[in-house]
Amino acid sequence: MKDFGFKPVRPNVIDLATVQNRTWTDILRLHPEMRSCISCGACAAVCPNNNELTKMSVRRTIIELRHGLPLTSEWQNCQMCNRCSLVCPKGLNTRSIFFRLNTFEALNDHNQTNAEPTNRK
Amino acid sequence: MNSNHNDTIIIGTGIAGLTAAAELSARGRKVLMLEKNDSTGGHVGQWSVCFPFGISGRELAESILPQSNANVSIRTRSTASAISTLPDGSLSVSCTDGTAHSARTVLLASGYGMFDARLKEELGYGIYPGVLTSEDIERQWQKGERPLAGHSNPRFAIVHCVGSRDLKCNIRHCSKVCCMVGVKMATEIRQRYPDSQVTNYYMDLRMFDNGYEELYHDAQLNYNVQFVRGRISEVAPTNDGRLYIRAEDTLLGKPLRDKVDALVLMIGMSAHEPLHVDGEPMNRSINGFVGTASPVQINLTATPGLFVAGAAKGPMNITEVLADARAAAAETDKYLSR
Ligand code: SF4
Ligand code: SF4
Ligand code: SF4
Repeated sequence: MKDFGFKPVRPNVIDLATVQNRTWTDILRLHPEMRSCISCGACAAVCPNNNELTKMSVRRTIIELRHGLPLTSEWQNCQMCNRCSLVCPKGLNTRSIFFRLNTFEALNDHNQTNAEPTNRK
Repeated sequence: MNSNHNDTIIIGTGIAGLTAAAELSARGRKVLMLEKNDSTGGHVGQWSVCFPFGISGRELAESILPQSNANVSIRTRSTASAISTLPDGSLSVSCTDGTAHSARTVLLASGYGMFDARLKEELGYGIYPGVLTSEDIERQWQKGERPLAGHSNPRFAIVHCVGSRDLKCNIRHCSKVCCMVGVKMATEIRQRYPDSQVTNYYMDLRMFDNGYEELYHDAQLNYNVQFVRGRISEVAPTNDGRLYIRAEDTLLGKPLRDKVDALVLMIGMSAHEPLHVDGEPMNRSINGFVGTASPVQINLTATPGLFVAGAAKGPMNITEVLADARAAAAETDKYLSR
């Protein structure tokens, strides 16, 4: 396995001082307006996957990306239905995030560490 | 006792007192202002930038009441201690320096006190030099000082609701303006320190007035200010002279840590001890601030001729204070015309 320079520090703790959120930075390059998410959860409420069919939460995914955390949400289940974007009070194109998430190379940060939360040294 | 040549005595020369004085003098009333400090302007007069006006508190205060006004005389270092009703129905204000001043009406514009942040020991104010209050920062900027100069990539954490909404400090009220001040300060920090990282820790964000929500949106979008819903509840020094902070990200339900160079506390407004009127402490409203005669008589107290304006009645923003002080001046003028 490639050495990404990570070492487990404290599972489950968000350490803002050391966090690396490369995926989020990539997302912001395309969608700078994603910064204005207010975590209202409207997107998650209408998402057909939201903790009903699968363990997915749009809102949670956004916060985890922002904090550079491992993604606990099964975002791969997105059906591209666009309901989330329709209801977002900030007019954010959340569907586009999921559409592009696969293409961000840095997402490796999140996938490979899914099982054990880590922070950069 | 001084002769009764003033129509009104205004206690306090913050923006409420200054606005009322300007209004009353424009209506030909003679005003005596009592100020406990060395200079006029109150709390706002010490602020570097007032939202949404974009000017300093000092400029704002001076624009309300220019220095020379034939109808207004100002006594600084005069702290009002009690008010009594005289047999002819006029009011006498006694000061701690032994002087007394009388007039037909008195307008209480004594504002508020700032919460003493040392009472929240877990936040380390007065213990760690990196912990500052919103007022400290405004004063430093007003004086042209630049704290943390020379730090590269300085990290700031801003704590909302310090000394507000805190039953342990026996303070139930929300101070109303500090959410706006916290977000305004975050954007100012990002402007002054372009390589900085700023995170606001809030319980709720109460952006109630015109322009506030827009300010919040702007802070997120254009200044990349981070918002974490949670309350910092532990601060400790690090070996490298920074501050280690702990909170919970309540939106994720996960513990959260950071190491910051400065922790800025949004301290709330506290009520002053009530003045004594005719030997009794004044009525207080539910939040401990000065109470009014009725829900409709919002500028009159229980004592005839004794009016009240501004944040002496409870937390208000500048715009509200300006409107309230004008209303109080109109009520006072009406009373004097009777
Ligand atoms: S587009 Fe994807 S994330 Fe959005 S509501 Fe549909 S399934 Fe959920
Ligand atoms: S609906 Fe929009 S603002 Fe609300 S949590 Fe979802 S993305 Fe954020
Ligand atoms: S205005 Fe905001 S920071 Fe101030 S007390 Fe109210 S909720 Fe707390």
